[in-house]
Amino acid sequence: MSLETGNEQSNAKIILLSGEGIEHPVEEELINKSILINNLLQQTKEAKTSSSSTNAPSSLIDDINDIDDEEDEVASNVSGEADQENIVIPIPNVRSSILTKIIKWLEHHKKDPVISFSSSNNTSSTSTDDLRRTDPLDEWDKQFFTMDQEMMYEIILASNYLNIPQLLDSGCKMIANMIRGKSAEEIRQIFNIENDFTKEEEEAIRRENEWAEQI
Amino acid sequence: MSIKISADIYNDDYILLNIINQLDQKTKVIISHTNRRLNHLANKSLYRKIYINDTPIVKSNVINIEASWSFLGNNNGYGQGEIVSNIRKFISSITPKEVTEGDMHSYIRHKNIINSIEWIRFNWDANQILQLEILSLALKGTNLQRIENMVYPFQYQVLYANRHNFVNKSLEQAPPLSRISFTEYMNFNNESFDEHRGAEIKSLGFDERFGASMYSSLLNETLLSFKMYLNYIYRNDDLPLLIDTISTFIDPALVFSKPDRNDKVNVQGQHIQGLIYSDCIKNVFAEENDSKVDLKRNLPKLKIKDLKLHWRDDQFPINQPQYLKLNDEEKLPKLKDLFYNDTLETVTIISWDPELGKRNETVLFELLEFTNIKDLSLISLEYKPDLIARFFDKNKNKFLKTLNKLKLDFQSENGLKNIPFEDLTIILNNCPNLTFLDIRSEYDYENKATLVKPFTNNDNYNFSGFKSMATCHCLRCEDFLQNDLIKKNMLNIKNKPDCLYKLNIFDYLSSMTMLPYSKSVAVYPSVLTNQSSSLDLCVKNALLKMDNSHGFDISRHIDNIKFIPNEFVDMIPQHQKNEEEDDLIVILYLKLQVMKRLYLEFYEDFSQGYGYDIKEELINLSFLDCSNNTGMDLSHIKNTFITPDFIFKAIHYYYHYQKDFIHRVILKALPKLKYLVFNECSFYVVNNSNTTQILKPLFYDEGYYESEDLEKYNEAIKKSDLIKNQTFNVDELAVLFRFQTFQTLLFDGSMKNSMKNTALEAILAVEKIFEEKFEALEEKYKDSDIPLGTIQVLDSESNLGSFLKEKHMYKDNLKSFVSNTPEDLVGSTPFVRVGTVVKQNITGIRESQKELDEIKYSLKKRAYIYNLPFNFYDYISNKDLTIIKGRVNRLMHTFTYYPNCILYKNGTELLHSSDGRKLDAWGRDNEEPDKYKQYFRWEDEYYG
Repeated sequence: MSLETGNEQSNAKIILLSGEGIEHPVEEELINKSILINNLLQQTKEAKTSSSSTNAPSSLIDDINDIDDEEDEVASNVSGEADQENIVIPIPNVRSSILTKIIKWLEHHKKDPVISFSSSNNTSSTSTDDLRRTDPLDEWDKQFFTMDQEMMYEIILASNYLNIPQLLDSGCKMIANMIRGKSAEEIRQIFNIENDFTKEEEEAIRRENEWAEQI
Repeated sequence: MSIKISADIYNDDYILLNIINQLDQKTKVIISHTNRRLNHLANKSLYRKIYINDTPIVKSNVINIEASWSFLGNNNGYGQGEIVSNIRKFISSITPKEVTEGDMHSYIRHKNIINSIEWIRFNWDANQILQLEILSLALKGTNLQRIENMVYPFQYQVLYANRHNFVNKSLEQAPPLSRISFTEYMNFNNESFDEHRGAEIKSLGFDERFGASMYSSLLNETLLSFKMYLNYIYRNDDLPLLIDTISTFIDPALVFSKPDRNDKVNVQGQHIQGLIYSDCIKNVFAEENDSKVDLKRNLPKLKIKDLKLHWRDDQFPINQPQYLKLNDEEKLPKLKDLFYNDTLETVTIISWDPELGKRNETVLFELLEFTNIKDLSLISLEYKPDLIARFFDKNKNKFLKTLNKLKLDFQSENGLKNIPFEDLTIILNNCPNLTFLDIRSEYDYENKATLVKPFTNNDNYNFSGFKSMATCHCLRCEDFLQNDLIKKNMLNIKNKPDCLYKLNIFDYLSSMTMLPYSKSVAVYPSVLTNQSSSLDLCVKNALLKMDNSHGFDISRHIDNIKFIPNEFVDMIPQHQKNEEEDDLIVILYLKLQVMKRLYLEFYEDFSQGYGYDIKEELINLSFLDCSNNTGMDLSHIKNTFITPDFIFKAIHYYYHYQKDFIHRVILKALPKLKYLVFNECSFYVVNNSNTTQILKPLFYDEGYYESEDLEKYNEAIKKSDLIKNQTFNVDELAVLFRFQTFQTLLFDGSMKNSMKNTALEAILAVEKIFEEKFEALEEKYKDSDIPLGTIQVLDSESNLGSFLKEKHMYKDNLKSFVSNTPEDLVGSTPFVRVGTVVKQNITGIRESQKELDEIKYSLKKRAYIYNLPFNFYDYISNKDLTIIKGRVNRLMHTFTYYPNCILYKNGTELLHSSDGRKLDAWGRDNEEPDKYKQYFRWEDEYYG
């Protein structure tokens, strides 16, 4: 999906409604980094255009049919008339403090170059997925994530839900840095998981990936 | 604070896989050992993109080069033995497992592994049969989409055999390989042919028909295979449109052009018939009932994304004769007639053969019609003064605005050419959206000598000449200019005025390929193309090559030497298995010996001939001393002019020389630039809040930020709670750092090379620590012929071969090789092996008799001048003293244990540290953390 696709940049305010019902106004240009919301807004605009051209009364939601499940959930709660300046989007499973943080991140990365994301083109040398992994963790993001672990995980989950790939990447890089250099046992402790291998399995797995160990 | 990752994260496949994808190869392997769920995801990531590497990958401190590829092959620099060993292990992993009752997990795991493989990059220099087997097995998975570098014509057969369960999206032409002789090719099915290899090929499903097709009039076997495979693709209506990558060694027009039977020019002998329409008596990629390619059928345009052209008429001499028939090149189809405009994004043109320059240029300019090219690599082009201005003309070139990756280099008589500054300006002005640029150019420094080629005659080869090219005045650059560059060159020029070009360190960096090369930084990994595993070895080899011109004819022999540890040649340590703890010391001892030999052997042996350490002498000489003494006969000094340390200083100087130019000229013009390879130096550009662009060298960056980093480091230490509470002092942290350095060095062959000196000293320290144990070992082995390593000498008659045999520390051990030579190592090149016995310190370390305190002092000092490893800040910023202590413990255990260490005896495993599998990456024994306590106490290191 591309963020570049014919999206008119505007300074219209979008109101994100947190799980507690607190409103978080945010510029559309900022929140467009969320693919979920960007798609939703585009479809909202299309619906608006369509309804005004046909001049037929139509619910905003009725026109949004062909969207993902996640988008569905959000879309079904979008309130406000299409012709109003502000659009309210409820984000019921994200807390207010997390939304505040995410907006702060979006503001900082406002001028970042737009990156096209593609999930179907993994074997192209122009695949942005692989290029993103090569990049080091942004220094500012490193500071941004210096916070209570629980909050960091909530931000990662929210960025996944809202589909903000750059933020999700940064969060995953933070966790990856926490794991790097740890032993298998330490990693189990970190994830709070049990070793469910049999002895034979352990030995087989050791042999399986032996080719990759000596690097 | 302990780390606990929430269950919501753990239970989300997408997030968890994203986390694993960010990790390095080594950590992915560790994760695969934790539990079934993580094993499943780690394997998905680990097996997705396989890169078979014949040279070790050079890691960067700045970006995560390993993030998407998994490297299979020569990771530690041991050559073909290591490649074969690893490929065999890999083949074993992807070989189908039988379903057995009670072991469904094994079956499921294998399915996951094989279905995870999406992209394999083969290697023309690795074992072909084994790679063929990899392809054959990988095709049993459901997800293979791309194969790069077709290495063997039989690969087409394998692809064809699997055509029903695999959609090949890449159409690659195999290069002609000298190792496949015509006879071998024809006789592969003959019983008299190498039985073992024949059986392997047969088992892959080949038959006689392949050989029969050789009666075709086509020019060679790989071309024939390509042609037959093309026919197969084109018999199908859909397949051509699924192809998204093409790599060809012949002109695409000659591959795809459709014959026009009614054209009058045909009668005049000017007709071009594409390869695909040429006759072929029998096609193995055809069933009996298959119809032939319809010659009247219009070729569908290919919707390819990626086109790679090798202009290589010397190997596929089809182009020239065809062109000779033409009076008018216009008769050939254009690229736009063959490929869709909308899809073509990546174009690579490699100009191997200057004979095809004219046609190459025509095709190059056909690209101007495309509007969607994003990634363009033009390699070894012939330079013409107006070429860049014509090609990068925004009125004619339709893709300049979309272009975000550009690699451009031109061939000149003496290697690659630095384009004029004016040409660079044209490119910068016309390609504003570049995020990647790889280019060589002259500088615009006014009134300064050019660094890359500073002196053309001896008269200006003097102090003021060097001084006039200085652009950076940081302490290290000044020091290098005063004490290294000028002093050493001045000394030498008096003796060898005719070798000016060889003494230019910057020219030398380039001609000896000292800097890691990558076709495309961040997309493909970077390697040292001179086949050395480290910069140190590279320097030594290059140094010897250089000596060749000074009358020391040893370089060709050095080229033929490869050091191969025992585990790759099945050598036989004749000792009995001891108690486990003793074994650990033995292993460490062996490793240390291997290390020392790798780093010091050649340097020591060849410089000791002069009787004293010339390097020390040079370091202690002042410039004035040198000037006063230039009349001396100092010819012996030339051997030690270029040391790794000198190279690192030179690279630092080189980076700093370019810094101002890059910022002022390149970064200013290209605000989106992220990766820059300028005059061979690779940089990562950090856009700091979109206001400033910071340039970070990707490799050998030690000292680049020397002053800044030291400040940061000191600042971090001051702020650290640990320091505030005086839990650790700075010296103690430095020691911690040194341990980590040593650990990395010992277990990671492709580590940051600049730390080798520190590490060598660390080895001394370890020897001191284990002095007693090692003495006992040396006593034990002194009368036995236990080889601790092997040197292969391809040419036994060489001076070096004789040299080795004469040395008392080497002993002929030819018998050991007769029965233990792995077949793959024998390969096609006959050679004799000279076994050596390493029983003593051959490096002269014993003589230096450094005291432990002295060594420690030196190490502490050194710890500050090198760049910090990525997780060193974690050490000093962690608030939990227990964690810090735990880490110290882990580090100290690395001295006593090396996981995965295997020694062989009579071909069977003698020592296999299976227990080590339970250890973590640092060698810590999780079950008994204090198991090896008696060998080392960290308090000793701190307070001793």
